[in-house]
Order: sequence, then structure tokens, then C-alpha cells
Amino acid sequence: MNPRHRAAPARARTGGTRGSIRTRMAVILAVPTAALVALVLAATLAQVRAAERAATVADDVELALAAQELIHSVQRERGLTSGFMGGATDYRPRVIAQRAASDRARTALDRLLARRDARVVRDGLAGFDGLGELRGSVDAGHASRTAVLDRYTAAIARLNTALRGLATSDDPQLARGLDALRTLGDAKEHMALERGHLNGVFAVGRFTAADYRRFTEVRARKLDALERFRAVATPVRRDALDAALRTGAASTAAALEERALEGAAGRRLGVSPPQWWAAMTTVVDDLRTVQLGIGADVRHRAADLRAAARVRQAVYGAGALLVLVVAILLWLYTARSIVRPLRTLAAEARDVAERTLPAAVEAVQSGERAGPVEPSRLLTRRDEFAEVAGALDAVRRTAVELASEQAVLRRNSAESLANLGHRNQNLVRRQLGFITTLERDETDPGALANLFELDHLATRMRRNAESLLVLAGRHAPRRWSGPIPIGDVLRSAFAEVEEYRRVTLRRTDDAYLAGTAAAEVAHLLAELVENALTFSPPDREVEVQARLADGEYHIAIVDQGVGMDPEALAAANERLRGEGGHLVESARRLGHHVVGRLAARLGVRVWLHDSPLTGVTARVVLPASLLVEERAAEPVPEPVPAGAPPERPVGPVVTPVTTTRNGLVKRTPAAPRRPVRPERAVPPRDPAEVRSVLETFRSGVHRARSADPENEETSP
Amino acid sequence: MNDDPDPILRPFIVTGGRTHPVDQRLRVETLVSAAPAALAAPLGFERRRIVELCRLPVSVAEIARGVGVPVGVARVLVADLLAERLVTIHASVTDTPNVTRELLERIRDGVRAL
Repeated sequence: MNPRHRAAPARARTGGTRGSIRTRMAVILAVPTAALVALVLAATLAQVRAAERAATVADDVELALAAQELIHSVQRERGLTSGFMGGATDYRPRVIAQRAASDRARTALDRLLARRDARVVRDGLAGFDGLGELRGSVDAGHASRTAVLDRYTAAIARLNTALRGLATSDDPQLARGLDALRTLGDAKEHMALERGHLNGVFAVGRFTAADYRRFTEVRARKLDALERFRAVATPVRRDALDAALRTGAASTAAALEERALEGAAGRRLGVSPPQWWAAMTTVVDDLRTVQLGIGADVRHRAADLRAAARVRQAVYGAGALLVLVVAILLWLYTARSIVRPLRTLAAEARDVAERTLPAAVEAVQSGERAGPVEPSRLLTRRDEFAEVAGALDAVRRTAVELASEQAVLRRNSAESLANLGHRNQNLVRRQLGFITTLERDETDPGALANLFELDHLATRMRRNAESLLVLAGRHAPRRWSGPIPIGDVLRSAFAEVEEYRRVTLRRTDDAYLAGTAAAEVAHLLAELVENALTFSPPDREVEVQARLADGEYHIAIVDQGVGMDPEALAAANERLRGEGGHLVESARRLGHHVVGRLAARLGVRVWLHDSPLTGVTARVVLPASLLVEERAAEPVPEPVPAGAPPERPVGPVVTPVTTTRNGLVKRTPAAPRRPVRPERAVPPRDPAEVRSVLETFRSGVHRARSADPENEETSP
Repeated sequence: MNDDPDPILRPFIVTGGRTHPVDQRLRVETLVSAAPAALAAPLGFERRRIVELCRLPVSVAEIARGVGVPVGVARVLVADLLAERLVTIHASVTDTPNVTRELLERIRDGVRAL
């Protein structure tokens, strides 16, 4: 649960894959979507082409109808010319009028061709180019009627043939319309031919054999074309044709035709050419009307096809767009439905790592039971996410259980440590008490030195035992009710380190520490001094200064070691602030953890910094709350016996001493060690003086022996 | 747990571990008195208390009691002060060669009278 190990890499991973699922799903959807859109686009293009084709057909039909108009006019011209050349001179003005009509039709067709060029039609028109010359020879009267008619007919036939080369259509209805248009064109041509031919024959009055043969041939062709038209035309147009052939004019024409058929033997026909012409012209005009109707049909059909193609084109385009939109919506929805629960899962997992698990561990450490793991919100789903959530829940539960077990284990081991530390401390305390008793009566310096060695060892053992208690979260059992001078606290701290002889107390301001905190402050200082001694060369001393400032007590422990690099210094200060657990750190740093715990408990500020020249200085600030103003009762016993003569004046000048020197004699550089020169004994005293001396001795010994047990606490 | 445990100061730290006094003459009963200049001298901790106690002649044993240290420690401290001429010792009775029979008898009488 170290905060440094979690979150950071996990966050980075989440950030890196945020768009990845969406991208992948987009790729999956993109391929079929693109294929679909391409298909629809192809269909749309096909419709565009169909519409174009329909438009072409419509244009061609326009062209064909215009050409038919020309043909229609020239057919009349031919018929009139034929009658004129047969001898009906009264036709002449009509021939001239009809020539003008033909020229107008030609101009109209040329205009149309100028807009939409069709080579086949232009080629077909070649026959009409010699029309002027033909008309000239007719007017001059030196051309044979048959040859003139043939030239007209050839020109018309050529155009009619050319018209077959115009656009056709895939649409059956349209194709049939076009076919009907052409067939009717043929029928009308032959009917017009018959009209023109018979016009001439009737004008002559009788058939020659050749004329008759030609007449029957043309008539057969006409009937054949009409038959073919009936086969391909729509019922409506068929009925229209039938209606055109049943009119009065048609019956007259049919009757006259019968008469002509009977004139095969060359007898006189006796038919008025104008009557024939009028009747036949009406029929041909009616056919022309039918032809125009079919043209309209074809035009409509083409327009319909074009409109249908346009509609389909629009529908397909809309379809493509719809497919695209649906694909995108699908993608968004699916991505959301995957990404959302994934995020929820990630958030829940992170919540466990950052909140639930530490909370559970904390609860267990403070002696409560860990709360139950709340199940994931995703469990209500019925999909794979629920399975993953379930698996994660299992991980969470196991983690919380493990953490709880660990916490219980830690608490139990801490209790065991505390228990052992307590027993140890108790034994050492008794040992020290016994050593104190032995030291008190020991007068032999050698034996006392041994006792001191024992004393020092036991003191250090006591510190170790108390360190154990501190790490287990217990208080040191040593507490005094009265205030303790800080000088004593400092020196007792030195007594707890191994090489106390290397410690120099440079300066101490007088102050008193609350007795309840004295042992723990001494312990804290001892750990810091021990550390300073460990990290300085064995020939260098560690200096300690203590100063009272602004109501707080400042202590500096200065070593002259190699110092620490900034990172180690920062880590050490972190430990001194009580951060981090001693169980996860190296055992070498235990001292710092002990200091951190004690400092936090006492409200003492402790930190390390670089010494001015070399080494490290440990700074300790005891807050005002730990300091006590003055001793409750001045416990200095006045050793002045009752009967002492005041012959020696009591020194009146007792200046308040601020101790600026080391308390240890050995360390006082100002103290010169000279060989002691025994002074000469004072001259013989008088008995009163001797008695007084003895009295003092006696009372002193007496007090020393008897006052031993109860006066103990008054001695500092 | 005792209300007040042992004194916080271990005796060996008072002398810095030394047990041999620099002056061998000091005995438990040797009387010590401070030199007049000693009270003004800058002394620390136990040494100051010894000088204060010795404004009147006091025995080494009494000093040990008053300061709260073992006699062995008191002897080392007093010997240091003696070497620095901050205290003086009074010649002990047993040291004096001219103890007369008369004096001894008077002592005997005095002791009896106690």
C-alpha cells in the first residue's frame, strides 16, 4: 500500500488506450460499411446512366419526329408532283405551296440537328440535297414521271433507313414504341407512295403494265407494314390506326383503290385524281396523327424512365447516406457500451487500491473488523463485464482479507515485541537498581570502575528495551513527578550511548523539563547522539549545544563525519518526522524511526541539516509545553549543623551561574591538572575547634547512614 | 511501576567513568571547605553543588549524600576541585601526629557522653 507504487503506471496505461477500442471498432465497421456504400454508389451511377440514356432516347425521338415531318411533307410534294406530271396542271400552285412546306420542314429539322448532332440523320438527309435540281427538271418538263417519283422515293427511303440507326432502348415498352414508330413510318411511306403513284395513274386515266405492277407492289408493302405495325403497337395506338382506316375518307380511298385494282387490263379507270388525292391525303394525315401519338407515347415513356431513374438515384444516394449514418451510430453505441463499463471497472479497481484497501487495513490496525467489500455495480449485468467485475470483486475480497490478516499479524507481533520489551525493561531496571546499591557503598576505585562498566552496559540495554517499546507504540515506563534539569537529561542521554567519552557538552542554558517527559527526551537525544557518533570518525568528538530561546529549548548535535547526500538527508528527515513504517525499512535506520515516533508523541521538532563545514547537525526543538518554570521546592539540603560556630563567614556572593562549560571535569580544558601538593596541616587547634570538627563528622556520618532511603528523590 | 524510579543520572557519567581520585588523601571523613574564590568560579552541575555545600567544612560522605552520588564519585569530584584549588581539606584527626593522650581521653569521654 505504499503510495509510491500505485496509480502512476496504471493511469498512464489507461490514458494510452483510451481511444483504442473505439478505433478498433471503427475499423471493424468501416470495411462492410465502405463496401455497402460503394455498392449503393455503383447502383446510383447506373441509374444516372439510365437517366442519361432515357434522355438520349427522348432527344432521338424528337429528331425522328421532325424527320418524319419532313418525310410527310415531301411525300405530299411527291404525290402532287406525280399528279401534276400525269397531266393535272391545276395541281401546280399546290405543288409550289407544298415545296415551300417541305423546305420549312427541312429548316426545322436542320435547326434540331444544330442543337443535337446525329450523324446518321445527317447522312440520311443526303438524298434531299438534290431536291432543288429535281424540282427544276420537273418544272422544265423534260423528266419522266416515274424517274422523278423514284428519286423522291429514294430520298425518303434513305432517310427512313437512317432513322433506324437512332438510339434504341433496353426498356421493352420504349423499344416497342420506337419499333412501332418506324413501322408506321414504313406504312405511311408506302401509303403515300401509293397515293402519289395512283394520283399520276388516275391523271393518265389507265394503267400501263409497269404502273400496275408497281401499284400492286407498293400496296403489298403498305399492307405488310400495317400488319407489322399491328403486331408491335400498343392496343391504344392499334385502335387509333383502325379508326383512321375506317373513316369516310378511308372508305372512299379503299373503294377507289378497288377500282384501280380492277384496272389491271389497261381499261379506262375513270377516277378523278383530286377525289383520290383528297381521300388518300386524309388517311395519310390520320396516319401522321397516329404517328405523332406514338411519338408522344415514346417521349412520355422516356421522360418516365428518366424520372424513375432520377428517383432511384436519389433513393440510392439517401440509402448510402443512411447506411453511413447507421454505421456511425452503431459504432458510437457499441463503443459506448464497451468503453463505459470498462471505465466503471477501472474506477472501481482504482477505488479499491486507493480507498477501500487502505481503509480496511486502517480499520484492522485500529482493532476493528474490516467492513464488507461492496459488490461491483456491474454485477447486475448479464454479460462478460459482469464476469470481469465478479473476478475483480474476488480479487478485492482476497486483497482485503490478506491485508486484514497482515494487519492482525502486525498488531500481534507488535504486541509480542511490546511484551518482551516490557519484561526486558523491567529486568534491566531491577538490575540497575542493584548496581546503584552496590555503587553507593563501594569505596575501592577499581571495583567501582567495574561497577561503572556494568552500569553502562545495563543502561544501554535499557535503551534497547525502551526502543522496542517505542516501536510497539508504548510509553516508556520511567516517569518522574518533579521537574528534571535539562543538563541532567542531556547527560543521561550521553550515558545511554556506547562511546559517551567522545561527546562534548559545549553549552547549556538552565531549564527544567517535565519529569514525565524526561526519559523519553533523553532517549530521543541518545538515539541522535549515537547516530552522530556512528557517522563520525572515531577520533572526532560530537559536540552538543543547548540553548533556551523564545520559550523553546534548542539542542544541536554536531558531528564532523562525512555528511550525507541530499537524498539520504531528505529520507532521514522523512523518518524523523515519523513518516513511513519501520517494518518496511532497513533495520539500520531503526534509530531514526524511534526518534520519529518519540518526536511525534512529545511534539518535539527534529531535523538534520548539513553542518557548516563538514558532517551533519541534528536539531531538536523542545516545545514550551515540555518545559517547567522552576523547581517546585528547592531541595538543596543545607548541611549546616545546628551547633556550628559561624566563624567561617558564609560567602554572601552566590552569583547565579549559567553553566557554560562542560559538566565533565575531564573535558574542561581550563582545568589544569597539576600534581597535587599536600598542604601542610593547619597548626594545632584548640579543643573547642576539634570538638566542633568531630561533631560535624559524626553528624555527617549519622545522616549519611540513616537518611539514606527516604531522601533519595531529593538528590538530583 | 514506582512513582519515581531511580535517579535519571547514572553515576558513571558524572565523572566521565573515572573512579580514581587525583588526590589520594581524601577519605570518607575528610573535611572539605570551599575556597572563597570558588563560589564565583564558573562551575557546572555537581561541582557547583559541592562548592555550595562546602561553604562550611563538610565531610566527603556528606558531600556524597548532598549531591546524590556514590562516595567514590564524590571523592573523584572533590579531588578535582582540590587540584584546582577551589576547595581545601582540613587535616584529619588521625593524620595529626600531636594527638595527646589527654585529647584522646577527652574524645573518649565525649563519645561516651553521646
